[in-house]
Amino acid sequence: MHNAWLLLISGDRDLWFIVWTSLRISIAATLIAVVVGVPIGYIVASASFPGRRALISFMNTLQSLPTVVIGLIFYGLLSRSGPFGSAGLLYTLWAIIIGEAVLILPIMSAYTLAAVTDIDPRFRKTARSLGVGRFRESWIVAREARFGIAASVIAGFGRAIGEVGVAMMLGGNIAGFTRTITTAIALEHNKGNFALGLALGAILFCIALIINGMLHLVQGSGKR
Amino acid sequence: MLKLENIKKSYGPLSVLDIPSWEVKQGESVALLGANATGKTTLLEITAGLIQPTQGVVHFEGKSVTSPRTEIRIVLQNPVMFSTSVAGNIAYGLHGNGITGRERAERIREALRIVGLENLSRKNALVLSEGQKQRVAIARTLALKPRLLLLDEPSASVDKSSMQHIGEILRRLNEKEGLTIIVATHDLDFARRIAKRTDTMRNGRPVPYISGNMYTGAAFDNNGETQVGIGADVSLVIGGIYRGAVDIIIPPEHVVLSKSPIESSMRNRFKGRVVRLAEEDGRVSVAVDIGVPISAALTHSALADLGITIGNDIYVSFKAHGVIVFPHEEGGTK
Repeated sequence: MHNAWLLLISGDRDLWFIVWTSLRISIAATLIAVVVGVPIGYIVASASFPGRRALISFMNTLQSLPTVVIGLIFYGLLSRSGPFGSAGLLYTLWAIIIGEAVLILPIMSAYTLAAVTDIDPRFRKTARSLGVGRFRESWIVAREARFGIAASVIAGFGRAIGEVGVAMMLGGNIAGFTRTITTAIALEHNKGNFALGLALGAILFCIALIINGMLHLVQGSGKR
Repeated sequence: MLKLENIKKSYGPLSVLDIPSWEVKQGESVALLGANATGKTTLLEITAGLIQPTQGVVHFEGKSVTSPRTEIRIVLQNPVMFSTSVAGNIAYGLHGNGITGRERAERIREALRIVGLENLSRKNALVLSEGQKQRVAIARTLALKPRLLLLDEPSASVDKSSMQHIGEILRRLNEKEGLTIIVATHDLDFARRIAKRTDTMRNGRPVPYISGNMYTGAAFDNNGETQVGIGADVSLVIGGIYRGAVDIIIPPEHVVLSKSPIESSMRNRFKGRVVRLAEEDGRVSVAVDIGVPISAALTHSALADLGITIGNDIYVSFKAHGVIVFPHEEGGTK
C-alpha cells in the first residue's frame, strides 16, 4: 500500500503513461460511439417503423454482451487471416478504440433512446405548431433531452475506461504502447506486483468517482 | 376567412367531429364552448393543420389547409416551455421561420409587451407560474404575426387573476389589432368575457349558442341523483356525478313545453308562466318563469299548435342528460 502511494506521488512515468493511454483510447472510442450511437438512439426513439420493438430489444441485449465476445469477434476480423487483417490494426490503439466503440455504442443508443422517449410529446407538437422545419424540430427535442444524452456519453466513457477484455485481446497489453490501466492491473496481479496494480486501481477508482459525480450532476440538472 | 366543409374526424370507430359547414369571418372572436372530449381540440388542431381530417377540407382565404401555415397559429393546451429564457422561447419559432437579427429582437420585444412580460425577458421560462407560461405561449405565437389565432383552453390550470389578464389580452388583440381569434374553452365565464360569438360543441359540431338557459349553481347528491340548485326553489336533475360549483346550459331546443303535465321519463318537470315570446334565428324563443327564467326554442308551427301567449301557465320538461355541465374545478366530475 505504501509503495503504491509512493508510485502515485512520485509521478512514475510508466504509471502515468498507462493512464494517459487509457484516457486517449476511451475518449476516442466515446467520440466514435457518440457520432454513431446517439443518432441511432434518437432515430429509433423518434421514428415508428415495423420491427421497432424487436430492434429495441436487440439494442438492450447488446448492452449485456460480454467484452470478451466483442474482443473475440474483432480479433477474428482484424487478425492477419481475417477480412480486415491487411489493415494491420491488431495490437494497436486503433484496434482497442474500435472494439470499445462497438462495446459502448449500444449503451449510448439505449440511454439516448430512453432520454428522447421520455421527452414530453408536446415539445414536438409545439415545435410543429410554431412552423419550424423537421431538422429544427429534431434539434429542439435533442436539446430538451440533452441531460439524458450527456448521461449516455458519460456512461459510455465509464464503461470504456473500465473494461479489460477488448483491450487485452485486441491491444495485446504491449508495454509503452497498448497497455491500459485495466490490462496493466491484470498483468501486475499475475506478476505479484501489487504496488503498481493498487496505484492504477486507485486512479481508476478516482476516474470512476469523477464520472459518477458528473453523471449525478448531469442527471440532477435534468430534473431541475 | 375560415371555412370548414364536410369535416369528419374519427379515431377508429369513434367519431369525434362531424361538421357539415362552419365559418369564421375576419375580425371575429369566437368561443368554442364545450366540456372535455367534445372535439374542441381536434377542431382547432385540424384548423391549424397539425392533424388531418378523415374527410373534408379546411379553407383559409380560399386555400386549403393541410399543414401548419404562417397565417394560422395555435396556442396548445397546457403549453410547454422550452428549457431556456422567456425570450429564447419566443426566438425558437422566429428562428425556425427564418426571422433573425434585429427583426427577431424587435418581434420578441413587441410580443412580450403585448402580454405584459417585458420584465421577464431573460428569466428562465421553466420557473414561471402557470399563468405566466400561458402568456409566454401566447407571445411565442403572436411573434409569428398570425392572422388567425387559435387557443386551446388558455384559461385551464391558471389562477383567476391570470385568467382575467389573458382574457384582457385576447380581447384587446381582437378589438384593437383586429386579430381573428378562436378560443376553445370549457369556461362559460371566460367565453363570455372574450368572445363576441359563442358556439357550443354538440354531437361533434359547433352550433350557435343561443343565449339564455345558462346558470351557475352548486351540484349536490340527492338520493343518488345529482341535482343543481339554480334558484331559491329551483333544483334541476343533471346527468353524471358532479359536486360543488358548476355552470350549466339547458339547450333551448331540448326544453319541451306542454299545456298540461306530461307523463314521461324526463327527470325535470316544472310549472311556470310565459313571460316573453321573441323571434330568434328563425325560431320562436319562449321565455318561461319557473322561479328562474328558462327559454324554449319552438318552430312557428309548434307555437301555433300550442296556442300560448304571454301570461299563460305552461309546463316545462327536459331530460337530465340534456343539461350540459361545466364544473368550475377541473375534475369536478367524481
